[in-house]
Amino acid sequence: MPDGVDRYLGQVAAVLRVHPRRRGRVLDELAAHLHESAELHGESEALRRMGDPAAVASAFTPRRRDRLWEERDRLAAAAMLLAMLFSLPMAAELIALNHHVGQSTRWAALVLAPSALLATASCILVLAHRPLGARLAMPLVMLVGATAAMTLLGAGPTGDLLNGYQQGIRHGYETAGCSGRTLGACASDHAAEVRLNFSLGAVALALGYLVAVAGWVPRRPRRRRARVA
Amino acid sequence: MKADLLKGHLDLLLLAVLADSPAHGYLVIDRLRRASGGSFDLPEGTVYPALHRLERAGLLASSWDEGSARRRRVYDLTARGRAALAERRAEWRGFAAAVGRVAGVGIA
Repeated sequence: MPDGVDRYLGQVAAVLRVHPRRRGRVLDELAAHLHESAELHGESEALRRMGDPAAVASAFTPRRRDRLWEERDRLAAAAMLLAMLFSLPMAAELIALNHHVGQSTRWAALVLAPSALLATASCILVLAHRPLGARLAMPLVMLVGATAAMTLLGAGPTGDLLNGYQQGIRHGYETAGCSGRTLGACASDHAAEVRLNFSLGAVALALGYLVAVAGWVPRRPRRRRARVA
Repeated sequence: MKADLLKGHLDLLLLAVLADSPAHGYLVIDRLRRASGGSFDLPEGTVYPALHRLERAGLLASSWDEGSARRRRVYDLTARGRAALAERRAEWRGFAAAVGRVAGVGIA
């Protein structure tokens, strides 16, 4: 037969609406408190001091906005994985055009693979609530930043990858979106667009991810003293 | 003292009682009661949600203390929590002084 503390905790648990990750912790904390209090003051006094179980449970329930904020690390991890997934068709197009013009993509793949693998590992670990996932975010930002800088400067294997892409369009292997322009101009525009969007987009995404998973919280703005006439 | 009067000031009080050393929930409530000379006898169930909220805001950090006979969650101020405490203390001084002046109650 459950004692008063167990019954009380059961009543709290019945109406407690918190994230499953916090649920056990809330109940464990309340149990520890009630048992300690019951030893000193007796069970019924401990329960009285704690207050109405429904009120206690509802005080733990965060607002919808707070719930989303609490889950921001996992939302960012999911967004990162989705962004990587959506970039796959573009990556396939880059590879295909490079192959058309006879340019190898092996070195570019070797340069990009660590960022992709690190991002995937970090996101999966964050989604699984493993702290290591958040710790991998800073190395990821540094790696993505270095790769983005290289790509923007048109240097190294990622620079070559975009040069191959540009040549592929110029040779007419891909003409979508080129109507009304010469293939040379179209190739140059497309390559510049991809260079800029992919580099800055990847850096912005990685920085946003770092902020979300590292638990950074914006500073509360200082309130201005109200002037009374 | 009525619990309603404490509404809006609970965050300051919780940060203040944790300023000197970390404490678990039961001790936080005990410190509140002792420091107020028994005036702040809150329903204890209101303190834990407030501690959780302050932790979510990054003002407190907590961890399980497995060392004692009973497993307890221990709360401590973060650097942001210390800064917030200093800010709220200053706000409170200004507020209390202003109320005192208007109400004709001198504050020593």
